[in-house]
Amino acid sequence: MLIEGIYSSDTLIEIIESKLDVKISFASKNFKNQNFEIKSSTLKVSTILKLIFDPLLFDFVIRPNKILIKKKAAINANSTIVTMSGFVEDLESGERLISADVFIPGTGYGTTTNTFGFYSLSFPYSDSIIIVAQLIGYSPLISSLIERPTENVDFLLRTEDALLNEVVINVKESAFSKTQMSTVKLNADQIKAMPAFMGEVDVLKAVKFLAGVQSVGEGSVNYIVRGGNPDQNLILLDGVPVYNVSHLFGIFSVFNIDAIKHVELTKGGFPAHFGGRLSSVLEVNMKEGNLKEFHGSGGFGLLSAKLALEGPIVKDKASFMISGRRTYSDLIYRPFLTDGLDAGYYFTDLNAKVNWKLNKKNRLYLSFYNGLDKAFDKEDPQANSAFDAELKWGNYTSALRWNHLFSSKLFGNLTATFSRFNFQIGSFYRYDSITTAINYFSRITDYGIKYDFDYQYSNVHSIKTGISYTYHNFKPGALSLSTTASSLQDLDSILNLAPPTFTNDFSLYIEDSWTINQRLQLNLGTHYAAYLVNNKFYNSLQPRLSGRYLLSPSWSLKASYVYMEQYIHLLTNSAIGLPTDLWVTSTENIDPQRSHQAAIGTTLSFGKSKWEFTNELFYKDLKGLIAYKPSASIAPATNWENQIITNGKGSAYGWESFLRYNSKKTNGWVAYTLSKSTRQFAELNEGEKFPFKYDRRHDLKIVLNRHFTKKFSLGLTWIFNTGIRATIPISTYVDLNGVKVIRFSKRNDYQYPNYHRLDVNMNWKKKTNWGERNWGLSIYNAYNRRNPFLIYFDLSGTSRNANQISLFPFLPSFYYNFKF
Amino acid sequence: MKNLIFALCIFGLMACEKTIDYDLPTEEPQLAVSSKIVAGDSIHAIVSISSEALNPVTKFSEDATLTLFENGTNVATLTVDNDRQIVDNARVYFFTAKHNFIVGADYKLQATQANYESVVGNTSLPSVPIVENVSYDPTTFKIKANIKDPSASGNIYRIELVGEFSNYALGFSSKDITVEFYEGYSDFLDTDEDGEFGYRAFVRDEFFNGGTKNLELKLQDYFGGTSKIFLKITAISNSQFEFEKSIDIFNYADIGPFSEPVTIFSNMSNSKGVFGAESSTYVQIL
Repeated sequence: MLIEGIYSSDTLIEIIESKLDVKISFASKNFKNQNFEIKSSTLKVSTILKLIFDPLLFDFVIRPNKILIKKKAAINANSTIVTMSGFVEDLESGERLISADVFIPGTGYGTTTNTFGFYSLSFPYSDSIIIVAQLIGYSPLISSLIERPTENVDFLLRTEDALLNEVVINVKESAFSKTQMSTVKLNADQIKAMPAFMGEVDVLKAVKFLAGVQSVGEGSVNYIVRGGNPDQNLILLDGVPVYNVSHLFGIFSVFNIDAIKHVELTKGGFPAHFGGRLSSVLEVNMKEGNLKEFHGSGGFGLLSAKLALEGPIVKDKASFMISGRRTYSDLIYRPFLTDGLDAGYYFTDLNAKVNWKLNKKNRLYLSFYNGLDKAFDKEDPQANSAFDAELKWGNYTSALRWNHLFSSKLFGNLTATFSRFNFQIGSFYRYDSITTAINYFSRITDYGIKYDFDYQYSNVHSIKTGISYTYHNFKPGALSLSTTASSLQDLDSILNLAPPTFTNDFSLYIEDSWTINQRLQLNLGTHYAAYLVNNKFYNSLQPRLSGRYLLSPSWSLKASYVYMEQYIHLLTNSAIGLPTDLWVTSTENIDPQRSHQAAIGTTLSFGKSKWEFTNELFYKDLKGLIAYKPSASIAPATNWENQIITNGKGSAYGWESFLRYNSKKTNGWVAYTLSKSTRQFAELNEGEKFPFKYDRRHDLKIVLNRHFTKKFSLGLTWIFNTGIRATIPISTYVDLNGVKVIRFSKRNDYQYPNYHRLDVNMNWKKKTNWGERNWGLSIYNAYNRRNPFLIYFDLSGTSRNANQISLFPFLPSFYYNFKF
Repeated sequence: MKNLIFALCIFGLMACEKTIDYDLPTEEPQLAVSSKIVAGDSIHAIVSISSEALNPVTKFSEDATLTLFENGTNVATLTVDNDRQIVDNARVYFFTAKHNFIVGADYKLQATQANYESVVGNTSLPSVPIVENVSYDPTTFKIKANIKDPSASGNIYRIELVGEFSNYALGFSSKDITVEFYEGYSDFLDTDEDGEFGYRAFVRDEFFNGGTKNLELKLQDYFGGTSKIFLKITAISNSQFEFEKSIDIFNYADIGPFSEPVTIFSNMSNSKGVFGAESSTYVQIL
């Protein structure tokens, strides 16, 4: 039968009935009308029928003048096992798609593409098997093996926007049949649809709207996952750790959405390939660059302007992506400064990536990121004397990755990484002809290499294994001095306020995704970590277990247990996320952080798979925590080990509920978390357990985005959470020496007022003859709630009072974006 | 550096700051007893009436009944002496009693007053420390001394250098990490050369229990204007140590709005005040 294009199930059945002059009868209550993209130009009638009925777990028999529909028999496990592998790519750009589902409906056989869009799937062969590839934001692609005798099959998915018809999101079987739990994916379009803040949408602000993730407060990019500490979140940009993700003292993150393709957060049930942090892994992947056509995008908002370009270097073989962003307020006001004064603040981001298909089996990726925040103040250069100062910080990351397909069963990726966070304060003094410069800087630098393998051993066992090594260089604080004064030139020009520390971080992992039967799948793995610091050697073998049991084709039960260790710590006042936050290493005196975690949950898909409902119960215990001594609040460069208390314990447990809706016109979610988390240090609160500062009992978020017309869409987000905890002064008395003593409450015994906020985004989009432009209006804090950012107490004078700082009131902003 | 950061932050936040009336938890005024047994001398106490932190009213009790128990037996009732001292226009009433205190005995102090909840605290009296082999080198300003620790564990010693007038405190340093300073002068000296600095330090016997502690100090405060200097070693009760330690940390704490407050230690039943004990030895070194 000659057929190509997009058809609904109804239409396909009508076509078959009219062409063959038969009547197809079946129980309509089981029937789901869906749209299919038929890719091949000629298909057998049987193939088309399989397209329609396979997802419903029905089979059919063709008889003269009639077609009988019957309950589908399971795949014969004794059949020959075949392995199919390939890549899932965007049809229009050629970009490889991460976390796309590839599966055989109704059989339990399925997999997910890795970070490089690769999949490998083994299953008992049948000449009429249907394979589905799908990813949110793309139309599912359904293929028949009859038409594809080869073992290497690439799936090219169209974006939903590229389809003319309204498309119903198809069966998302594999979304709930995967073993992995506690994971949420977001693509760039979903993030862009959320309300912007000062004209900027932000990846981390979107992540904070997920269940189990809590912001530490407005004006901070730091976040808490399931009651953990902010330093327990690993943030990877193209596989490279990013140590400080804040711009503008934490108000924005360093991720420029125009350069981002995919974001995935794992907050529990960590597979063995993850390590190094206790509470979450946030993987942010940059765009690869369009392999087929040159495109660009850009825009400006209240705060910044940005431009991104991508296109082929050699069509279908090599491509590039480059994206830049800069705030521009300083450029506007600096010309109006008088008396020779020049002062300002700005931040910049530069993302770049090149990918090169060497041949069918080899591909190279080179990615780079540089971000900078700079505040400066310069006095008149013509004056006899002047004092200049500057404060700057930023990250450099780069990764070189080499994919190699050893066979249809074995995929390897070799990665070399570099990451540096640098913080610097400079002061320059000039008097007559003598200039003196003093710079303080702190820095952490990583050099890493790792090799990861995906091996499809059989239809039952799928194995991941890998090895990695990272060399860390911690330089907590150093001063450099340079001067033109002849009398001082003999001075030692570098003074280390705290000695630099060099550490070696090694890991090895293996995990097996074991399909025991169609209902039961386990992921069993172990992660071995070794860490060498100052002749102190730490190592651990960390078991990782997770399992999935299918209660029905659309309802799964999942559970996991993991043990994790973390060898680095962040000295931070988590409420503000300053660039002075100091990453420090475990030492012979400071133990690693350790955690046991367990979770159990269910995922249910319903309403033609438009709805997904996930519920999870989690428990986490923590050991080896550090905290500031009560007298300190900002990371000291010197003697930092004496400023902290160690060997703290903690626990967190709770319930997360996540209801997500996704259709062509409307998408969004409701996320609710009920949780409790505590901490315990021998030196604090008289050794008694106390509530964690961010122990918010209730946390509710609603995200809604609706396309009312092709041109206009409206996005709303609303957040409510219980106020954070604080220690407050209760009473005062006088001691034996006549000193007035203030008695404080038990630690974190007081709760701030609840936090809630509504944000709104209105977007107008128009297609033009050169591309598309859209402009929008965002309102942050639409009903002007004065949420407390900080409450502090002035207890020094006779008139004592409590002061509240609220950060952002009702704040409208606009943005204009374009793409071509 | 941190001042610059704070300045930038606070500057940005000032416009959003407001003074608020919070529904803070309140508590009724309570008796706050601060008391100390000084070996060979007496017991001293004051009774302050607590008030709300944001609405402080300085007030002292004259009418409280303070009863001292020794190993469970009532041995003294404290009386108000004639010392006059004024704090915030309020007269301070000093309670005192003479008693032959016994080393190692358990002491309980109970305070009662009409319309207030009774409060109690417990402590025990440490023995007078034995200090030997004290030497002072006026060219290097280094002081050496040995403290002989009794066999019982948990002894804590306060170390001070005092001038001849009114126990005038002199600054000193030590490179010994078991000599603990809590006053927050860690950046005051070149730590490689002199170690930590302060006006009082503490040593716990956990590393030399029942043995001898070889103490090495360096006098740093050469300008005290005193012709005599004494090394004062005081054995203090655990409650007195925890109280003084928390006071030192409190007094020198970072007062930024983001720092966690320091909780002042209390062993009284309403978490206000302290009941401690101490025994001192003075050795003249200059």
